[in-house]
Amino acid sequence: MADGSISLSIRIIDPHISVIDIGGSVTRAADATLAAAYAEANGDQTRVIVLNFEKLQYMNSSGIGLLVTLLVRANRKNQQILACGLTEHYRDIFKLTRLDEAIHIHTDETAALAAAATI
Amino acid sequence: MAPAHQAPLVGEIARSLPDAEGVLTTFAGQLIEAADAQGALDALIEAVQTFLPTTGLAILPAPVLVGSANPLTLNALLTPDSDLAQSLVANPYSTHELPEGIGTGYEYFSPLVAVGECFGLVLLEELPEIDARPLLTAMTAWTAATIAALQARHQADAANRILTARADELGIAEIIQRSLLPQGAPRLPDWSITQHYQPARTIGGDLYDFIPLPNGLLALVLGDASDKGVPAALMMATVKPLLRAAAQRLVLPGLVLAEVNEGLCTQIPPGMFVTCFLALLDPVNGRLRYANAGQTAPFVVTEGKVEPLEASGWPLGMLPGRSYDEGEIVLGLGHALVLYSDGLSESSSESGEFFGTDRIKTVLSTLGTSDPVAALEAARRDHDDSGEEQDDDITMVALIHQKPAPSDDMPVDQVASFALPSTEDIGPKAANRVLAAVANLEMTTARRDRLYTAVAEAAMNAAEHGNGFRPDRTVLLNVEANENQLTVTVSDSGIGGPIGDVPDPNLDAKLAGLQSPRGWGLFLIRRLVDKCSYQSSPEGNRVELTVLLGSDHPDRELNPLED
Repeated sequence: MADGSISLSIRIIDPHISVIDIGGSVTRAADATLAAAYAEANGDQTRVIVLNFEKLQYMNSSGIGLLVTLLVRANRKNQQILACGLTEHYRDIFKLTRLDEAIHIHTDETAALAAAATI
Repeated sequence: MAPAHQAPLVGEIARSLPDAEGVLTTFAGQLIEAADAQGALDALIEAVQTFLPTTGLAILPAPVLVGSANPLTLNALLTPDSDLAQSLVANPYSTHELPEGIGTGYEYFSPLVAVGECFGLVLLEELPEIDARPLLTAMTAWTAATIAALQARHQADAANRILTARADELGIAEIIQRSLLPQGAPRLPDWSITQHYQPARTIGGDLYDFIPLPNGLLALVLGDASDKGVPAALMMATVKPLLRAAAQRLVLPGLVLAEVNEGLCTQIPPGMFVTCFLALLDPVNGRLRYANAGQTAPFVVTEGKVEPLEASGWPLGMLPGRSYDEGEIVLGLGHALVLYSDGLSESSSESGEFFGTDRIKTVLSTLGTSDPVAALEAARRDHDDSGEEQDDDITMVALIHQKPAPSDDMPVDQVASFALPSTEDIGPKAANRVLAAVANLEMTTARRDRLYTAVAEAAMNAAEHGNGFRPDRTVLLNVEANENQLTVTVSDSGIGGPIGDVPDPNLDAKLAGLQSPRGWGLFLIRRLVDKCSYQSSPEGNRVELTVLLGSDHPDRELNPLED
């Protein structure tokens, strides 16, 4: 694990599904960047946003708070947030915070996209 | 006018008068009893008056002593540098021509000369009929010798009185200063405090003190007054209670020095000042907060590295309204703080070479397990080969955070202690340091990951809430381990207030907008380690994280609802 800034990339898979690749560190410093990425990933017809954490290095409690904020925004739009690529540790964190109840976790992007296609 | 005679001989005297021996014995007894020069001269006058009437001769006036006829002129002529005085001293029994105006009307004179000094002249208007000159010459010579001895004794007495008075003053200064110094070093678990104080020939005004403070803190003081002797001792007697009173109330060393400076500026004599280093130690975590009012910078010794502990500030008592920078370090296990007065660095060898700060650093860098104070004093003695008392007080105080003795229960290589600045990226930095410190412990990856997050969260909380992200406040981390458990203690300075008992965050409430999206930190810490406790005091917050080790404690299944 290492400290550093967040790195984000947005992939529009189709009008309904977008993927945000999240790498680096998800901390309070990532607030504006993550919000901007969500806005960019969010189209008129977007129903599912997949957060790909394969390149995540570190996420702290403030980062979890950002995910909650993201989740609130998504709920307002009746969107679903999915997650993939989480290490065992962050799967534990999601479980501990019950984020896994609101953000469905998939082992990899393929599984996440397959699930997204059914929503 | 008759010249002075040759040196008198016993035989000549004995032949001059049948009772010369009795006269001389009486005269000698009076000289011995004379208390001063005038007493000796009175004895001479009495002896001559007793002696000469038997010859039927008169003395007019009685023996005339230097200055009696024309004191100013004679005194001027007989100053030690005068030709006459030097001539008389060189040849007291030779013929001398008296200067014009002095010897007029006298037939006889004899110089009062002894030990190279001329004390005056004895003059007679008429010579006795019998040749009494050898006897008179002998008596003037003995009188002069007596005067010389009396004067020497008076000078010695005066010198002794001065020396005695000086010794009394030094005695007073030493008594004052000794009474100011602590009787011994305080005993603290896991800490060793050693000290050395050596007063100078002239008391130099060093002061050191240990002040127990509320909440288990300890203040260390080392100061030095600008003067010596009684004034310096009195100055330190003024400073000590000021420091003690301020330290009890203010806790922050910079504020303590500022308050003492204000108090001292109204009391200190012009031109005097006091240098002073003040540190506050939290013995539990090794946190040391310090400020310095112009005292020599102490050294911190960490694993062979020796660094001065710099902080700027004016000496106390020079100018009111001064502020004092504060610094903060953590004295980890095995680390030492060494305070010393300039009497050590300026201790000089016979050739005049100072002991010097470079030599102090060298000694401290090669300490090994030695006591810094003992090592420095041994090196100073080697350097100071003069065998003389030093010119200034020498004071040394060492504060050593002792490593626990190696044992099966607590391997020392699994213990670390460090401080980090209160920055936004402190979490991963703290966690990486802790994980590196416990790399040798057998822990599963899950345990390490959980410890990593818990430590990072605790450090972030301390930096943000405890220290307000102030760059001058550090977060302290202590790591201790034995075969059963690993404990990480995270401490802050508590300026953001105490750690509250906050309820667990609730995701549903957060999603409903009833709670802030944030506020997960303490919850995560509590869930990710086996034990978590925290306490708050005016000195700061302390969070203790414990991870149980060994096969008896497999990784727990994390449960968001557990207590």
